[in-house]
Parts: sequence; structure tokens; C-alpha cells
Amino acid sequence: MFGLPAFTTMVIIGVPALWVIYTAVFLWLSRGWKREDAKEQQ
Amino acid sequence: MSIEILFLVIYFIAMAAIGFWAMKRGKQDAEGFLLGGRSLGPGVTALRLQSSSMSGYMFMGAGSMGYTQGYFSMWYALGDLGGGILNLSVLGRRMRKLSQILGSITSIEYLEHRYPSKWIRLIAAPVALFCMFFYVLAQFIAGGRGLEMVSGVSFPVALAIAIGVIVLYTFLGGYLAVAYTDFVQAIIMVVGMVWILVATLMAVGGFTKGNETVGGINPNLLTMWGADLGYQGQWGVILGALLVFSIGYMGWPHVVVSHMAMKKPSVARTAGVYSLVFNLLFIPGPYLVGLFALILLPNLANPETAIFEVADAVLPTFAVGIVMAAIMAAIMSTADALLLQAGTIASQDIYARFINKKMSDAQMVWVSRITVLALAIIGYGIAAFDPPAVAAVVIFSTTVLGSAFVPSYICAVWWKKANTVGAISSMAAGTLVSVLWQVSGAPDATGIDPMVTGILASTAAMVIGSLASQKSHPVPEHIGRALDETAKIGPIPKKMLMGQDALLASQAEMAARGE
Repeated sequence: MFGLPAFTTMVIIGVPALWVIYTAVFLWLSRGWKREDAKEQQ
Repeated sequence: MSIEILFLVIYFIAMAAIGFWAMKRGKQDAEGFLLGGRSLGPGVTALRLQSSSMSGYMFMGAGSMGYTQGYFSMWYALGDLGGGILNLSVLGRRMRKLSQILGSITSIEYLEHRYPSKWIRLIAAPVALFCMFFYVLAQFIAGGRGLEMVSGVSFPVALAIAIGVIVLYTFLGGYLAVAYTDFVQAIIMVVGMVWILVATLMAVGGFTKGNETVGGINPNLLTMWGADLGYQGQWGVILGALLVFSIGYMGWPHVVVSHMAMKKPSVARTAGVYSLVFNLLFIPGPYLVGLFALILLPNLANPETAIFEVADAVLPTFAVGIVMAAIMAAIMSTADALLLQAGTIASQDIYARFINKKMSDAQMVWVSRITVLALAIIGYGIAAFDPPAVAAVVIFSTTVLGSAFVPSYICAVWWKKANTVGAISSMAAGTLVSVLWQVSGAPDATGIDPMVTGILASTAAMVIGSLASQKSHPVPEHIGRALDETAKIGPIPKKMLMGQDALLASQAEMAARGE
């Protein structure tokens, strides 16, 4: 794909995909942080 | 005046104007000058964090690596992509909260408050100052080279102009000026980089066609193992490339100070997402443009100028000016953050801590400014007469910073047993091992990057040092309470803030002074 060897394609697509997944998991785990803001605003 | 120079002049004036505006807006007390009054939202936090770590290296070193090593260079980019989100998710919220509880306003002072001992600052401040000086030196050289190419003036004159503009707005408004100029510069960087990447891809006939043509020149360049397959199976080197700009970046004092300047601890959440988006748009560009420069400019005398030369070759004249402004933005946004942090370390962490303990806020600001000026003059002297290679200086100085400080910053908020002995051992071991590994030539002999050995040594020293000295150097009670509060999701009780809880404040001060 893209004129690249299979391993290169796998790495340059796979590693960014892992960072996107990491970010999604972080967002999910930190969803409760909004409560902190609500309390600070009060 | 050519259109490129006109754009650069407009850009320089705009940056100085932002610095002046920030000076008027910001408070001139220590927290105002050094942390922008802890007032920054997610957009400024994320883009300031990213632009101050995407240095002139991205336009000189990254382009050069793409040109000479092909897709192997992408290992650095792939680690770098996650650097921002990793930093904000692991340290962001907790470091913001703990620094406020302990009343810390510099990233080195924060370490001393968390690990109470003057030796923390005595070791951390010189190591950070030394590495940052070399890092900023690389930015000066990159800035001078860029201006030299665009304007045609001699390198010493171009260097003086670049340093002059950087110093001017760092001098003016402190952290707030640096944060807002970094924010604007990050946007310019993304626009410029995407523009030059799209123009390059069009010039080489698209991504696939470009890769095929590069493969015709040398098929090894399309592999992840380097131009001569020299890195095949060299997982120690590859791991180092992945770590230096991802995990290593959590140990850079001029970057992690961004967490302490956030308006609220929860800013880290949104800022993390913004930083990932910025990185996905920006980071692969310089490496790919450097790679495809092989097709457009196959006989470059100096690969470090690949991106400058490609911009000149593929963009219309007016766009070259904008892209050059983007390149200068990357260089200057890192240089100003480094200079400000170096000034802070000299004024707050060395002068105010060990020489003049009764220094006023106004005196502190002036000591910081004089330090910035002194570093700029010394940097000019070295860069003008014997400039070293940008990529080598950046990778070496950031490797030492990461090796020295990553475990101390991470354990500060995540491990209650991390104590002063562990932190001192960790910083000393990380610095010594990474420097000795590099200067002894061990990376070539063993195939293991100094980042890997440095961070392994500093982590092991932190764990062993802390566990072995729990009885002789227990973590002070007030630190334990501060860490419990940091772990909670919720506002900080007012009585826990330094200066408001007299007991907590006096405990922290006395512990820091070793009394």
C-alpha cells in the first residue's frame, strides 16, 4: 500500500492508531473531571 | 525588499506586539511573570506545550533525517505523536494541583517542594540549565540559518536578528508573552507545514508515486531500517528513537511547567486532545518533505537545509514567506520557552534560593531578564563562530533532560514512597549514565540508545533509593496529605494551599531548608 513495504505501512499507520486509541481511553477514564470544574465554579 | 523578507518582518513585529500586549496584561509579580498567573485554558496550554517542544529540529534535523535515512526517521515522529497526550494524561492534572498545594512556581522549585532537600535544587538546576543552554543554542543556529537563506545576509547578521527578536519578547512579558506567542506560532507552524507538504506531494506526483520514485533511488529508504539497513534488528536504537520525544518529553522542565500554568487541573483533558490533533497534522510533515526532497533536490550539499530548499522550489514566492515564518515560529517558540525557563532557574532556583533569600519579585524578574540576555550573548558567541549540527545537539540535550528528570516528575505525583534519596539518586544516575554512554561511544558498540540506558538507570535509582531509605528519610507527612488531595477529583480545600495553611507552609519551607 502507498508504494511502501508491508511492515513500513503497518508501522506508520498502526502506531498513530495506537495513540488515537490511547487518547480515546484517556478521555473516557477522565470523564469525571468535569465534576471538578462544576465544584470550582460554585 | 523581497516578499519573503516582508512576511518575516511582519511576523517579527507581530510577535513583538504580542509580547508587549502580554506585558501590559500580565501581573508583574513572580507568579504572574513565571506562570502567567495560572490563567491558561486548553487551547493555549496544548499549543504552547507542542510548539515549545517542536523546535528548529523539526525543520532542520527532521528534514535531514528523512533525506538521509528515509522511513527510519519516522520512528522519532511516531514517538513524538503521542508525546503531548502522554504528558498531559500522566502529569497534567496532578502536577497542576500538587504545584498549587505546595505553592511552587517553577518546575525545579516544585521538585524541591515535593522532595524536600536543597540538594534537589543544587543538582536539578545546573543539569537543567546546562542542557537547556545547548538546546537553545541549536535554536539560535537554526534561526540564523533560516534567515540567512531567506534574506541573503551573512550568517552572523542573520543570527543576531533572530536572537534579538526572541530575546525582545521573552524579555517583555515573561510566561504570558511566551505562551501567547507560542500559541500563535503553533497555528502558523501547522498552516505552513501542511502547505509545504501538500505542495511537495503535488510536485512528486502524490504520496504513492513519490514513494515509488524514492524506492527507485534506494529501496532501503522505504524500510524502517535506514538507508543501508544498518538499523535492522537494532531495537535498542529504535526504542530510544521512540522514547526520546514521547516519554522523555515528560522530563523537560521548560515543557512540564505548562501544567503548572493551567487555569484549572481539568484543562489537561481537553488540552490532551488538542495536542494529539496538532501532532497528527504537524509532525509527519518535516520527515516526509525531507524524504521527498531526494526526488526534487537530489544533490543537496547540506541535508539540514532540505526543507528550506524544497519550500523555495515548490511554493509560489509569497507562500515561501509564510512558510519561512512558520519555520521561524518553530524555532522561536522553543527558544523563548527555553530562555524563560533558564532565566527562571537562574533567578528563582539559584539566586533567590541560595544567594539572596530576601529578593523581591521585581528583583527576581530583573535577574531572570539579565540571565536571558547573558545566555543570548554567550549563545551568539558560540553559534556565530563554531556552530555545531542542530540535530545532534537537540537529541543529546533532550536525551539527558529526559533521562535525568522523567522518574522524578512521574513519581512525584504517582508514587507516595518516592522520597528525596530516590529523587537525588535518580537525577544523578540518569544524567551520568546518559552522558557517559554517549561520550564513550557505547551506542555504536552496543546498538543501544543513551535514552534507553539513561532512563533505565534513573528509574532503577528512584525505586531502589526510595525503598532503601524509607526509614531514614520518610516522605514528610505534609507531602503525603498533599498527594492524597492531588489524587482526589475535586477542588483543593483552601486550608491546604501554601501560605494559607500556616502549618503546611512552615513545614514545607523548613523541610526544603533541611531544618
